[in-house]
Amino acid sequence: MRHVLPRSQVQNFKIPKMEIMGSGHSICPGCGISLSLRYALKGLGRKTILVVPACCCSNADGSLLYTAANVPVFYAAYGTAAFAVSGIRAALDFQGKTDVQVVLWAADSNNRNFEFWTMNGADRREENFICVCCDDQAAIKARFPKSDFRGGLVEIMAARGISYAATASVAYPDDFIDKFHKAKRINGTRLIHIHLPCPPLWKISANLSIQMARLAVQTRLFPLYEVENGEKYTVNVIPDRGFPVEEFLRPQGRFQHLTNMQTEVIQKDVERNWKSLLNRAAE
Amino acid sequence: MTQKTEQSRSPSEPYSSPHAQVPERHASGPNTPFQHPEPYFNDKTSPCNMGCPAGEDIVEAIYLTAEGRFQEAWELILQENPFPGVCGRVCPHPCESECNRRELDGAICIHAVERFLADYGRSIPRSRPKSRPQRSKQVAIVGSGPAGLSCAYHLALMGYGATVFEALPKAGGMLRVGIPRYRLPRAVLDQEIADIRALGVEIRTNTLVGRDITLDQLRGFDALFIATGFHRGQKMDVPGEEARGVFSGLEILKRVSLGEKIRIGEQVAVIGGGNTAVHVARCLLRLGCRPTILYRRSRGEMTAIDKEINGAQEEGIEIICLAALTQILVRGGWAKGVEFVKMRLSRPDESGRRRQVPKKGSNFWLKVDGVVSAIEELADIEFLPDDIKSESQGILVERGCFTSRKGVFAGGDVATGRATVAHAIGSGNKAALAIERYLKGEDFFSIPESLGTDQILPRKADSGVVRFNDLNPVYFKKELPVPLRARPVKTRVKGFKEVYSGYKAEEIVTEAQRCFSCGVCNMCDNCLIFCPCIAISRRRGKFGYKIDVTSCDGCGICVQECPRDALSFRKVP
Amino acid sequence: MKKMLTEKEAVSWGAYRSRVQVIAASTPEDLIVEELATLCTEDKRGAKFVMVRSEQAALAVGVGASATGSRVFTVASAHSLVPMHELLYKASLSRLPVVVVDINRAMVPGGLTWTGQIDSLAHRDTGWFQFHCESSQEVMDTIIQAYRISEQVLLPGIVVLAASAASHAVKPVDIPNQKSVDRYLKPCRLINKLDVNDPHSFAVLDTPENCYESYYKMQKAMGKALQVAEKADDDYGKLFGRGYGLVEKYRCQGAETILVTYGTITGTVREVVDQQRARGKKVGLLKVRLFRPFPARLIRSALSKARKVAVIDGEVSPGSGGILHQEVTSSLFKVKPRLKAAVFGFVVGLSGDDIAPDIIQKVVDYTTKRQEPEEKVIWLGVKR
Repeated sequence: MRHVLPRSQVQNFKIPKMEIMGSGHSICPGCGISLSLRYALKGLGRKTILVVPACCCSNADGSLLYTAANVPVFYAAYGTAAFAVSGIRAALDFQGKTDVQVVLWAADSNNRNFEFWTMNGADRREENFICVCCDDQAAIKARFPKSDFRGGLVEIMAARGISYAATASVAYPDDFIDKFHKAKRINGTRLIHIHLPCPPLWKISANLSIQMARLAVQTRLFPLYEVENGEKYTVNVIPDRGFPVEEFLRPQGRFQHLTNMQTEVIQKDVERNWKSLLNRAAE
Repeated sequence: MTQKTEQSRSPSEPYSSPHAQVPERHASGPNTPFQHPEPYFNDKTSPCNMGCPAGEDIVEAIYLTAEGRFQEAWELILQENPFPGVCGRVCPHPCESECNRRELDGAICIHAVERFLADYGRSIPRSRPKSRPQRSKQVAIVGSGPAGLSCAYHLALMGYGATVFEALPKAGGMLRVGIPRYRLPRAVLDQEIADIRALGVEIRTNTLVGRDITLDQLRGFDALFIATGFHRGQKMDVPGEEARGVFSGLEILKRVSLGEKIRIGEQVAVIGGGNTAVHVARCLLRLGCRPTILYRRSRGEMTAIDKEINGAQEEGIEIICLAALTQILVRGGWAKGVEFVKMRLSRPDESGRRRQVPKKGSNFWLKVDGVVSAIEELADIEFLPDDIKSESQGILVERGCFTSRKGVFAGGDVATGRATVAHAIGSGNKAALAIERYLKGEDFFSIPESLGTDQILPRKADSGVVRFNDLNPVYFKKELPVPLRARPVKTRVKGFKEVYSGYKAEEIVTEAQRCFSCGVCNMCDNCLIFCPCIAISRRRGKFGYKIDVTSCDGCGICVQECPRDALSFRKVP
Repeated sequence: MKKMLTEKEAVSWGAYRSRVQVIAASTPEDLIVEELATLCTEDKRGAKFVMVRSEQAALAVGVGASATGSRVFTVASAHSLVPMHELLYKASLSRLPVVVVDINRAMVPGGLTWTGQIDSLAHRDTGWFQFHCESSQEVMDTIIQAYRISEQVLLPGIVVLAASAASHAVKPVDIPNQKSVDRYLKPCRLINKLDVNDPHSFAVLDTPENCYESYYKMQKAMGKALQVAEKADDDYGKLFGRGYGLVEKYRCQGAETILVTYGTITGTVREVVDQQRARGKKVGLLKVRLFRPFPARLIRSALSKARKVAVIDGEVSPGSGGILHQEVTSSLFKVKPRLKAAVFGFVVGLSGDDIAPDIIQKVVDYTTKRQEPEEKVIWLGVKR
């Protein structure tokens, strides 16, 4: 073991050292929820209230009044998280605590679908909150998953002109934290769509989850980008080399049924999306 | 050594590059909270450390260099090798051939770091390692080459008295008479030998064992170490070899080194493909001759260091390969020309090797004023008594350095065969270890067998050497190594000034920061950043991390995402 | 200050005087919220209004705001209370002091117009306390009391008033002045709330043993709520001269037959009792104001002297009987000394059908004629 402490650390990621989240949660091994929550809190700081609808995260964080997140957490009933957000926001505004961020934390893709319309309503109310949709791509399962790979959520919300919409991946913690940090300084409805590795669902071994998340970005299947006010597109991570989507699909047990032809269709779809994303960013 | 121990990777899947690996369908088993394997920090051996014949802790020295702690790094190298300045210049750095970074964008310039550290060490006030309390035992060492001197150095550090006998007027052996000044400035060598002397090592020059003093006269010493090297030139066995104007390569180098004059014509044929041939040619060039190197095998088979061959070609020295000398034309007692026959490569034989066969009728002549025979040197071991067994290649040894006579050890080229300066230093180191054990009266068989191998022991005997596939290469971006800077050909051929210039501190720090630090944690924080359980934390004020195993859920991400394979998994009983 | 108010306006005033901070509402209760908004705007208190698409959403907003430590006000009615069902549990098990005013309506397939109590009665097991009010004045006073009870025992409460029959009627209402109300109702201070300086989680999906414990503690709190409610009403009476009691005994002195009922039916029953007394018949009325926690002890003592008890239910639990009837019967026989009174159960005027005095008269007549009650439920005024 070395004894000389490094002065100039050869770090791969420059991220805040402050650790808000604590250990002791009961999230599955290799799941991206705990990491994303941890990174998000690094970006958001302690003045944050989480609202979690019924999802993978609802029994994971703690018991009774205790929470591993170390920020207040409110577990909302199914399909009502955006409303609970509104209530909490209203109460905070009444109390003059306008610096506290309310974050809707929908931690699996059931909620991506289920909370989507409630989020829509919140946007119509011009609610001031950050909506986080963790996407484990649960919908992409049995059949031909072409269209499901499209990161439609950000596009829909961007089309509605919300102040900030972005995608993030746990394999890129620096970018992830930057986005939360940025979202925190913007008012209005903000959306962050997180790509979330789920080992049991994806049928991969737990230790590979970060690697798979990274491959999703590197294959351009889940591009990391942000949209400000529905207009200004920025692509945050441009992969050095275009890995074929097969690199992402083949290691996963859930995609063993894909034929080469199907993979090719996905590849074309991904390329088209990537191209159109670059075009929008260039505008 | 390259095989990994059972517990060194995740329980289900070994890591491989993202391109290759297709894990088995649904590899993840249910990781119940009570049965998961446990990650732990497990430093392994880096390939450079493994590759260094002198046994330097390269990965650590580079880490210290990257931290800007040059003195500590220099002192760390000195723990194993008394010749960093020499090795930084002339060692063919087998460590770099092992370096995992070669697979990405080029090996770390370890020699540049070593050279810089040695230059740095020479520029600061002395704070050499202190020798241990003196012991009464005395060791005689025959030969003051790198093997003999490093043996003396370590013995002195251990507190033994060491007396070195050198036949030539100056110490250094092949370093002094085999390597020209343009490669190894004498100031560097002198300084490093002076540092060894400063430890109390006595060097008796102009003392040829066998002539000035017999081996039996050295019986007064408690142990004897023979490291006389390869200093005898070989006959070429061609007609005209006895003519005037025909020299041995070593003789030329020796005379040039010792500043003696040489009478040799302008056009010189240098026969051979080893370092001696290249050195001779480049020295002669600097003396105003026009040398041509002729080698009977192909260019790829030349044993000289590539960098040196390239340097010679840059300087305009012609190298003719696949040309075998058939006779030397003698006029008036002087060599005036050489005849060659061209060779071609045969079809591969059973072993796949292609032999050279002469092409009939392809003979050609070169008009020359001098001929230098720079083919392989041999050991000069006629002074040895019969009870020390030897053969034509050198002294026979067991376990690296034990000769057939008790208390007599041998090392360096004369015992291990032709090799590099680093091998000689390593051989001297190991001999010092063996001699110490012998002097303490320990049994021959207590000496680890690995002393007889080419390598020093890996630093951690329980863990293997980290290879490129063990790393997680996505965390390394391509950065080119620091360039080699040679002085322009025009000026450098005019004298014996060093060809390659030194490095700036910033360059070296940047270069050292390229190091993957294979198998050794350098606190890059990756494990801590990617731990979903927040079970990994920094140790306050100390190097490294601690893992809270009660919070850990055994997902294995830390082991997987460690860029340098410094973490392993173990099963919890 | 006396004003002519509809019952809905009385609700607005009650909430306004309670200094509610966050008002979550959706469309059907617009009158109440509009009036409240007008009051709050004039006052510049800065109360926050969150308008959402449904009542489920409204209560979700309310629960969120309450968990953050605010005094929350929400209104609902029948088809809009029912979607709240899940959230009702969320609020009660999280022990959040939310107060919901329920404009009582019947559950009928075709819509949400007629009066009935089933919407609130069906939620009796959700852990909310329930007040059933008779008049505008009572509604307004009860809202103020409900906040005090709710915040003291940390249980949410529903204040029920009948739709149409009462909610749109204009009546004189005495509005207490703000200072006195402030003296009666202290600001909402919760120990456990969503506070970034003291982070806790709310409404977590917990282990069965912890959830079991939560129910046990909720039941205990209900017991406490009974005492707190009694005291709240006493204090209110002392301060404003109007007390209602958790149950109201009307001309029960020496009554042989006591009619037991709740909500707006009480007004009609009261008149019939007066008529009966005028004829010299010993008939009394017991109005149950607090339905949850059920004031069994008070009811037992009120009915201890009666020979016959007639429970008039506005709602039925199909397959069993009148809902209040079940509650009253069980409370009479639960502990010793068991009362010997004969308890008759009547179902009248379901789904907003008119409950005219002659129907109540039939109740009295039926009870007088028979000595022992029958097994089956007695339906009055129903088209067969």
